Amino acid sequence: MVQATELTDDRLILAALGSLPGIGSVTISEALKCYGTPMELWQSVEKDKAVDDTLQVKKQYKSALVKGILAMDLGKLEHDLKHYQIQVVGFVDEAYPEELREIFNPPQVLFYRGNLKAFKNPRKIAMVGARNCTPYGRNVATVFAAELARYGIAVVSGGARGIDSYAHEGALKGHGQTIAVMGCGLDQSYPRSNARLFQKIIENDGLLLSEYGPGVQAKAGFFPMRNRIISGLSRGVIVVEAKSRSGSLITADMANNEGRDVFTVPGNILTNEFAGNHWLLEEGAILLIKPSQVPDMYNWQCFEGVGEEKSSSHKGAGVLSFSLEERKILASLSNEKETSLETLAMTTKLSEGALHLSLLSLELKQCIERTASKGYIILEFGRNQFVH
Amino acid sequence: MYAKTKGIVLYGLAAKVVTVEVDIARGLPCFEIVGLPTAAVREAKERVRAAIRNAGFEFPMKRIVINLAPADIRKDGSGLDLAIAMGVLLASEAIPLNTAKREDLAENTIFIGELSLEGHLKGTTGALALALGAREQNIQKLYTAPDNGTEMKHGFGGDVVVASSLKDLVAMVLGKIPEIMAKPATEGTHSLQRLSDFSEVKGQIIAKKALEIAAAGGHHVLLTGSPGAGKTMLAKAMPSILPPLTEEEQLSISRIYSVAGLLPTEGLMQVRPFRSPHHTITLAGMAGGGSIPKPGELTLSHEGVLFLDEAPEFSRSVLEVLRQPLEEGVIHISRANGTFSYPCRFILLMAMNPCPCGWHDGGEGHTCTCTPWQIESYVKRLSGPLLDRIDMVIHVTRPTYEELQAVGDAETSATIRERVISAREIQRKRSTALDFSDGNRVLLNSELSHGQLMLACEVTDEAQQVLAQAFQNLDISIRSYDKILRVARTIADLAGAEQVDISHVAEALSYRM
Repeated sequence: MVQATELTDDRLILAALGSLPGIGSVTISEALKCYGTPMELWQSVEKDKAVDDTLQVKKQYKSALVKGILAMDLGKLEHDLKHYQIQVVGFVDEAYPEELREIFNPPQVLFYRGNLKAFKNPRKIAMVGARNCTPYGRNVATVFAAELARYGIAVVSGGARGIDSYAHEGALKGHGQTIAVMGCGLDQSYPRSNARLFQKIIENDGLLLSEYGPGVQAKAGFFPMRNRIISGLSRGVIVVEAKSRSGSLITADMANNEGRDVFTVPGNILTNEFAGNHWLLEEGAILLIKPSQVPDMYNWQCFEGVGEEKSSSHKGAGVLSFSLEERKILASLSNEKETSLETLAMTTKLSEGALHLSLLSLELKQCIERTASKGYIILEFGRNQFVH
Repeated sequence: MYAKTKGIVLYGLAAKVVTVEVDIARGLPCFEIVGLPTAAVREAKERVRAAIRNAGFEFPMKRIVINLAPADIRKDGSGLDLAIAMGVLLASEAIPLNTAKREDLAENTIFIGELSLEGHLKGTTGALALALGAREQNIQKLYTAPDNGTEMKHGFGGDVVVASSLKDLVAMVLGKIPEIMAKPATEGTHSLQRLSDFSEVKGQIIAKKALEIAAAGGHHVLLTGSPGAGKTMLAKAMPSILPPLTEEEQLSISRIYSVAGLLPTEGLMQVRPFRSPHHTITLAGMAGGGSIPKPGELTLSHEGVLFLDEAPEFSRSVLEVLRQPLEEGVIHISRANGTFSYPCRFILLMAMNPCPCGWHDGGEGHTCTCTPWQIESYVKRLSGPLLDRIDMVIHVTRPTYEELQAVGDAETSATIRERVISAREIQRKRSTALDFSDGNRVLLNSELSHGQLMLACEVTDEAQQVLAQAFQNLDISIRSYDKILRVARTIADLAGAEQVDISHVAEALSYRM
């Protein structure tokens, strides 16, 4: 077996096979059954300009395979892989994550950037949820991801806006590994606003993962496919925030079919924002009310090093506390919805100067955040660092 | 036979004196105007011919040539009718005058007015600008229509004689009837435009305070908030807290409004302009248009407020044209005829919803139905360079029921205006002391350059620390750093504080993008 590090010809051909347009993992797997190795498949098709008749796939895929192989610009692919530091791992490689082998229709070729060690971490939990999320969902994602990271759990998510981003951020805040599974080529950042987050994930021993070769643009149809990798990689999936018809429910469904556990947190039952969560609970998903439930369930112990750090950080937190005005403001703010400056001025009855000053200081302590619509919300993760 | 009179035409915001030469010679009867007349001036022929006949004079059946000098600038407008008619009457010796009197009329007098076919005199637009132009040329006497008399008198020190018809005017020139002098409007006759008052806006303490800061320091503001939150109401009350106009400012604004034909009949502009063009406005409407451009909304907002409601709905080119004027306070318009520079120093207020449907920040009982992509492209319609020129962003929230019901205790605009005036006075003193000048105008905090700002802002150590922290943790660019300091300086000025301290900085930070 080949080590997935250097870009040998075998690797390149494997990558090329993974980047063929219109060719899915089923066709690749059938073709490999027929030919043995990617190199043999490639060379034989290049020579014969046709595929073996015994190949058990539809005609249209056969012609796409031949057309794709003949049209492939290997030089460009090689350049892209090197330039963006994208590496590739195949189904038969040792480095291929075991969990993913078990699922239906596993990807034959995976592209990745970052540290492969995250693959070998057996503690992987996925967190998924709405892109357009509520502050409550956001707080849950950050706090839970940070707490899971303490147990050495790698948080898997989709790198999208909203819950996905907050889950990755939370894991980074908890100094843990995190894996982002993308629905586009790894040479792009989708959404573009997350480019910095992706960089941070790589820098912190995390992994960016995709089934798609360099140059592939994100498409709506790719995301459900990507979700099977998210759930496939993980022991369990936490649905943080899902509306009644949400892509997260597809992920939960796939997880369930593959024998993964589905966790979900309760939300407000009077709005539509958490209807998906409650439907899952009704269907028998595991009710999650504190992060430690997850490691407890799998008997994952807190790493010793991490545990010590936890107690010492609490000792350190003893000196960090809030002023009277800050406490007043925190009491009038919510972790669920935005509170406007106007309302804060009314409820706290603080003088203008004191109000602005305390808000700024809380913001600098990262206990609250000013949202795009200039309202304020509590960031639970920040607030937990303080005694109050 | 030859005669000479003087008329005056608008050239941008300025006015140019035009010498009207008339030559009447024997030959086939014809009436020709030369010297770059536009269509409106060329049509004067027919009006003049009919007016002269109907005023009881004989129109000479000879070869008449009119020359408008200087011949290289285009003459527009109907105001030259009177000067042409008088020239024809003088040249045909229908008005018997001695040479000295003729000389005096030709050199020191200007005739302005449009003629009706009946021979009546009608006013023209831009009378004030014309009068100011005449004053600069040391003209001693103006003859004009009654409609323009008062307006011209405001800009002209000498005699302004009004006559209702060509016949009366000739009689006055000949001394047969006494001349009627125009008088400036007396102070009492101004019907002050009713402004909305801040005390009528319920709640919105934070937004009101922010607008007070904007008024004091001349900062440009972006108001965001869901529909019905009160953005427009707040913006409309803005002029009521701006300091009163000085006489010089009144005259310069009135000149602009006179050229645009928008000057109130009672006299000069007494209140600061508040312009709120609809979002369908064209580029020419905003910047100024025409071969000799008429002032656009930017110039009409000079010394006042330009309010763009639903800012993202304006066309991109219209928004981008704001950039240079916001920076320089002047808009330069280049045409084939030359480059015209119009003043446009105003406070820009822009209002927008947070997203296309308007409910992104969740008004009670509403949920946003926009996709993240829709919101992003909506917000992006305001370009980065334009937002860079905005010093403060204010989020307006809908007042609660309690706030709506609250009685009394809301501050009136007059009280707020007092504070604004004293903050401006502090700025004036500082900018004189530190020798910041732009001509003889006082620089407001919002207009200070980076270097000037550093001189003007004495920041306490504590505040400096907070700024440094904010710079790192809150993603603040160098440009926004300057903006925050400018706003903090104004907040300190409003508080009467010499140094910018930590609470001023904190407040300024809350108005950042």
